[in-house]
Amino acid sequence: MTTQPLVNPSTSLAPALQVPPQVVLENLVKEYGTLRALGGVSFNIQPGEWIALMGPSGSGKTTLINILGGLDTATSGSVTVNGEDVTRLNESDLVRYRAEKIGFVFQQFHLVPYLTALENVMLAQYFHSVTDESQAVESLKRVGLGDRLEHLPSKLSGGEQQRVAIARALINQPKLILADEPTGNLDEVNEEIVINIFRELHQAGHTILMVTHDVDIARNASRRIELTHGHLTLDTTCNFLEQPKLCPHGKPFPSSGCCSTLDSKSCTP
Amino acid sequence: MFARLITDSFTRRPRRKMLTVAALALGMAVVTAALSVALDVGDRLAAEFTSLGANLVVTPRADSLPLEIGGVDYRPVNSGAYLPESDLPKIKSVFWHNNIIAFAPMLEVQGAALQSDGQPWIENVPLIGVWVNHGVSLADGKEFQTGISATNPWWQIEGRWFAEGAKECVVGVAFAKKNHITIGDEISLATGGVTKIPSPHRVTGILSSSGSEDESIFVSLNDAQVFAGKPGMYRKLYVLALTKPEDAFAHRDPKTMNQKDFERWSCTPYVSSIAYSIQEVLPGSDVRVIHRVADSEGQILTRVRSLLWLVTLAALLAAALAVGASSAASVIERRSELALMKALGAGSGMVGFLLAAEQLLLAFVGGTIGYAIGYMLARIVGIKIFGIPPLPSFLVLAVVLTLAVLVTLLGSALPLRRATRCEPAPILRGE
Amino acid sequence: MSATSANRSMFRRLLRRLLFANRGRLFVILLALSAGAAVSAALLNLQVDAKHRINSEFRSFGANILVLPKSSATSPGGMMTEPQLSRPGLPFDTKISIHAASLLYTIAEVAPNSSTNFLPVVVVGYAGVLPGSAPLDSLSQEVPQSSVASQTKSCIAGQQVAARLDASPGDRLSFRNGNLTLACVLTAILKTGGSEDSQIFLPLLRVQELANAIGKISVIQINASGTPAQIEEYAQTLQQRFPELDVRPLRQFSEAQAKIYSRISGLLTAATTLILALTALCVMAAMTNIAAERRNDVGMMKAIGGSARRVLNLFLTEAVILGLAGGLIGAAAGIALSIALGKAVFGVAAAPRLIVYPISVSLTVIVAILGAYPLRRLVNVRPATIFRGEA
Repeated sequence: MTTQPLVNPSTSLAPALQVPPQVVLENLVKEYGTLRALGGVSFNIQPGEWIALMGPSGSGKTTLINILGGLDTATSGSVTVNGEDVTRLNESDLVRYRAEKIGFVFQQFHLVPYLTALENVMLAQYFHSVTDESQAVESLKRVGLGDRLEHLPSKLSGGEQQRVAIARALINQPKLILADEPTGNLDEVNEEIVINIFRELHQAGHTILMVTHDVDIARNASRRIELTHGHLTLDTTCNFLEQPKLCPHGKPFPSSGCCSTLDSKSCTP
Repeated sequence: MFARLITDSFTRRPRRKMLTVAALALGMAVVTAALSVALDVGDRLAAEFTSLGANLVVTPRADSLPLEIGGVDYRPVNSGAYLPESDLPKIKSVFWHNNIIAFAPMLEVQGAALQSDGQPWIENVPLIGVWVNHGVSLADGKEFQTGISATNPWWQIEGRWFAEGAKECVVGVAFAKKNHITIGDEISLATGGVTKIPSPHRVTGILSSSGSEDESIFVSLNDAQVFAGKPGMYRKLYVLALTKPEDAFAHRDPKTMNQKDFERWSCTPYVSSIAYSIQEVLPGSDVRVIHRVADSEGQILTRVRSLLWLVTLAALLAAALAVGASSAASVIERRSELALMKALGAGSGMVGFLLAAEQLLLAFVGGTIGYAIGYMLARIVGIKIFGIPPLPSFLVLAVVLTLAVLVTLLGSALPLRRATRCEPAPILRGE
Repeated sequence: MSATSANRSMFRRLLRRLLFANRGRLFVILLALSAGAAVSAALLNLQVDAKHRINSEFRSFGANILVLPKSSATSPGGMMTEPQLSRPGLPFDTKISIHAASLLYTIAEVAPNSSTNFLPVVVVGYAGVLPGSAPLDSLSQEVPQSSVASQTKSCIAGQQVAARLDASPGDRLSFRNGNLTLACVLTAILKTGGSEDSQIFLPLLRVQELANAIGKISVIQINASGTPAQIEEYAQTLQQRFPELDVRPLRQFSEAQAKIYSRISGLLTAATTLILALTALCVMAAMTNIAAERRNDVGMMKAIGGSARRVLNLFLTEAVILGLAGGLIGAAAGIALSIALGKAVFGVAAAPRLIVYPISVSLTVIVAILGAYPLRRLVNVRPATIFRGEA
């Protein structure tokens, strides 16, 4: 399948090597009792990448994004975001991390049902440092909800609620935007609106990791990572036009570092 | 399947259920304790009431009007009527004979006392003849022990009472103090004017009553009968009976009642109906209620019962509220599960039935635990306050379980209704 | 706007939203808290008041102290001069309340209506207000003592005298003592079961005239409220003040009643404690209702960077406000309720004891906070666990 890359075509492999990665996952393992949700996942994320994290249900996508967002802890391995090892943070540091570094968009929106759209955004400001109503208004306007400021979530459509969530996620200028199936609860029209916003964000240079099962949405991303049973089974390179790299025998790729270093020699028999 | 659903819901999320059960148990415990004590309290307190003394007084109907001032009767001697001692066993044959705890006849005669030879007689000394621990032979052959210590329990004796048949006496504390009489002294008693026949009596005790009796000397009823020349007679009788507090029905004049009402009245141990029945078996008697005692007993009993009902009601209310809140919370928590059931085809009735069945099970568990705790509580309260534990009662258990079920259903009625009415779709969507 | 004031106004805003999010639910919670506060306040007030009340109930049981002239044993009809110990002169004690009545006994002859058949009877002159020699709820007792004192033309006869004279209320009674005479109208019949049944009561002044003993009385009957120890103490004080008189406490009732009422007050204490515990449980159950609903909010707020402290602050403040609101209203209602309950249970309206109010409110607030306790545990749980629904 050929698609139009929506990324800046000047992004090539060589400069990617020189810019240090924003996020480094190293052998990330997560176990729930006897269940192994993640079995040693490693990859890097460069700044400005839009990664589509895909895989069948139960593959560990949500677990991975939760750990990345500081909402869950790892069993072993490390996750370094902007030089900070998230897996070593205690709960109060994680709180800071979530407030300052991450903007999370959930499938279920997770808005406070008794706060207006504006107050929901200001809540994120409140937890970060200080509220700034005018800023919050601006960010809502940017997602096209300037006339819905005083609405409660129950009075907003699904798409509008998700847009409020996005505005909230962005308000503290996060380094990393994490989205877990952001359009999962939306109809086609609203889905399009929301994905458009993400496109704008990507164009503005934000780093986005989005869990999705929808191939059409994934097409918007600049890179695709697939998990199967907690293992990394697919990782397209920064250059979208290239074919996805797979081990010849189809087994999981022992990947590490940037996708450009992948070659069949790394495959174990 | 149904049973499986219920047992499943009990094994998961036990915390919420335990809170409901705990609230129910505690509420029912209080209700059990209150009811157990309430059922018994009439009897328990009745035992306490005996410390107030006699609540009925019997005098001869044909007797002249007493001229008593400060305990001294100014009636001319031989001016009165008397009642036969031989009629007294009939008192224990009335319908409420088990409620007759004690009775004590009394005969008073004006006499004189002599401390030792050479001294003048002390005149105008009231000699009061009483029973002390006297055995009365009843019609059924049993013997009934009774005496003045039961009807006048606030009389305190230093030393001991006289033994009947022995020439002994007890002296009132005021008389003893004034005349310097102590226990062990021999004094002579007599009646009559100028010519007195001294009858020596040994003083075995000093009586302190805080009333006018402190000025008197007590002898056995037989002795007093000899002194008064009235063998086998008495002039006043005190009766102590366990009674039920009087209500409006009790105060009606028995003569104005029809047959059915009269039967009901005389079959209830009101103090007035017991008085009526005693008057029937003692010919020539006039039975009066000692209101100061009887009314205070009634008042106390009524108040304690009201208090216990109050406690019961408050406990039920609090339990209902707790159960209501708990089940409301539980229903909200299980919204998605209930919605799923409805989406899978369970009707509102089915969902409601399942929830109600759960609540009923909770009610039984909570009620039973509550009864057990409550009974232990009642035992503690009973022993600590009344000295006797209450008896376990199946009636109370049945009432408590019924109340538990009612309270649970009432408390969870609203949340259950809301739960069965909810639309599955919005909930499953996650709103 | 400075940082702190901006955040403070946001806090207030959030709080307002929290409280008024669901009007129906707010109402139910306030109802539960108020009910809890009311029950606790009512019972506490009754408890505090009952102890006091129980002792003053002795008042309803007639006289418990007699004051007689000394050496009354040798001359039982002895009298004392009233001014010697007039009722207003009785020592007053703030701890117990005193009621007293002065009586003068004499023997006179009485005949009903226009009959010439005179009968010797004990006539009692009575002055004072003694709270009922029999409980007031006895229907056959129609005499308020004040009518004896105020209506000079009326008299009250005991049931035995009335039966013997064949007199009923409305009849006229004539008295004679030597060449002194007196007449009165019978207004009521007295039934006590005691010596009063054979006596006729008139206003003190008239009997003093009839007995030619102006200014003299036979005995003062005192009703002192309090424990047997207090009554004994008061009697001793009186005796010390008036050594020429004989002050006698009557044991019959005070001791028995003290025992009985101590039993009842023990019952009341036990009941109060139990109900309070139950009420606390009930209110906590109501509060955990809110806590359950807040679970998702807690998870989400933490997910977007809310610190445990800040999130907890919010919900605890909500609990405190709810507790205060419910407590303030409920405790007031409870105290009012206890006044009515006191009337129903003890026959006398309970007096509001102000100490109960702050105690009740504090208890409600504490219980409200405790009810929000599950949240305290929750704020330390990872958001992912909350979202999964496992928390």
